Amino acid sequence: MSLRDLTQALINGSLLGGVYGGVAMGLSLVLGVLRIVNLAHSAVLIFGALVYWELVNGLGLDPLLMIVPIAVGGYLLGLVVHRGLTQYLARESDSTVLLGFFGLMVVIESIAIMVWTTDTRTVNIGYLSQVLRFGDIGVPLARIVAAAITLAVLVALHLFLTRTLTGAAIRGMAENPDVATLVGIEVGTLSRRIFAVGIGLAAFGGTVLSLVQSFNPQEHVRWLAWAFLVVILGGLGSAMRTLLAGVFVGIFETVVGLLVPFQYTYLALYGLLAVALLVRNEGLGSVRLRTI
Amino acid sequence: MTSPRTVAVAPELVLDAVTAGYFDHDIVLDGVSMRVTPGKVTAVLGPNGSGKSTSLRVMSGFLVPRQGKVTLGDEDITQLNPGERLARGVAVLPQGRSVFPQLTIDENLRLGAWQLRKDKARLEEAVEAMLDRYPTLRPIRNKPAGALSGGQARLLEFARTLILDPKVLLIDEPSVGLAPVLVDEVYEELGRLKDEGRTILLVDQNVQAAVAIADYVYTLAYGRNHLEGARDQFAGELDGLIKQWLSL
Repeated sequence: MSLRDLTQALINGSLLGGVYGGVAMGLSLVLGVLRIVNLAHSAVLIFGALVYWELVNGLGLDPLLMIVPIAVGGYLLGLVVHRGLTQYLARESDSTVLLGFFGLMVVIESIAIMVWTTDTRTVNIGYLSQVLRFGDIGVPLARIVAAAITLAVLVALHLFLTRTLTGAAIRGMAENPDVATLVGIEVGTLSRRIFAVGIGLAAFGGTVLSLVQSFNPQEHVRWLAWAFLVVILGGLGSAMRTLLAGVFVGIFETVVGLLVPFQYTYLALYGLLAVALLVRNEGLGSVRLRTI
Repeated sequence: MTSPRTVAVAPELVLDAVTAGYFDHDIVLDGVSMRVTPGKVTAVLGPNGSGKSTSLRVMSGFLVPRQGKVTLGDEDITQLNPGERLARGVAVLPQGRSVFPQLTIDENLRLGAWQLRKDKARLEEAVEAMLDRYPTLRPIRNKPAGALSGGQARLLEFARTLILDPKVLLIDEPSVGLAPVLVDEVYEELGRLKDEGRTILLVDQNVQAAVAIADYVYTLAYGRNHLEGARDQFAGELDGLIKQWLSL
């Protein structure tokens, strides 16, 4: 492996990892604040990517501008799902919640396959398809743009959570919902909005991911594993830690891809997931103890 | 701490023949009634499991009774949630540690004043008033609340509870988990709140201290009203009462 290859891998991995941060953030927020393991996260992500593909490839709309309606649409879908499902599941046991969101995942995946089949799709990124050259190093513009947009969204979310009173209320709610209720925070309303933001972020993740990767409706579970890996490495609900964990995973994947044949890359990533769970000595059960 | 101030007298808070429980098949309170007189300290005493804390949960809006009602003055507040009751001047100081540990002291105070969030000037004023009232919190206001000692955390909880200047305080086991030296400070602070004219419902297992500060005392047993009367009636009977509870 030459220095040039390594540099190229680090740059590609960092940018790809930034996108992974965007892929995982919605899952992290919903898990960290509401303690809901949203198994439907990746199904929403792929659904968002498919609708995005339809708008960009089918209707010829601008790939950058179309990120906004997809994210907003995800938010609105989140409000509907909260009203129809999540608010009822909130009073149920953890296993019932898991089953409920597994069911939602199957429904979304089935609709996606019925509408778009199982074909692999690639978004026509148009003016973003050029590759910028820095000497020997080539960096796809789409990857830079996807990472930059994700960075902007995660920094904005971080500032919102850490610098505003509503952000403090969300963090307080994550720590102790009863005391949050006691000081007059409208926990029900805030929960609905946070869930909707989580779903909106999942749909947003689908758009930025589709700028850098091809995708199909059936492979969303792979992205669910990726998102969980980032959440476990980065901790719950923190936008900046999620971003850093995403970058780590991106670099790990790219550098490992240089060292071993492609088919072993996923194996290495799942190995990393297992190591992360073992080393941190905590799984999803830690949600009860760790908050944003 | 600064000198006492006075607050406008609140309406009477009444628990009227309340039956309540946490699950369909269980009854924790069975027809319990009590009156929290304006400007006075009303203590609720009783052995473990007698329904003291549950009666406070019903008064604060965390538990809706199956029968009976809760009134504040002329208003029926039975169905109001804790936030709506807080907006009417009824605040709760819960049992045990209730600070948000990962948030700073400043953020904890601001969340106490959440209902003022649309009026930034009043919110800042309220925070400053609490930092004046509890000056030991001021130099450490940017520290996480989880780093506070037990006594400091209790001060922060008092400050967060008082930041909206509530007329009625529902206080649950204020000295639980505190070192003995801090317990005295907590009851001193309760005395100060009483001097300010606030209406206080005090649920407590520290019988001696509660009766010493109370104007009127209710005792519960097995989720029902047991005894009630002015403090003087109870002061001489404490030993017998405690022995009776131990045998329940």
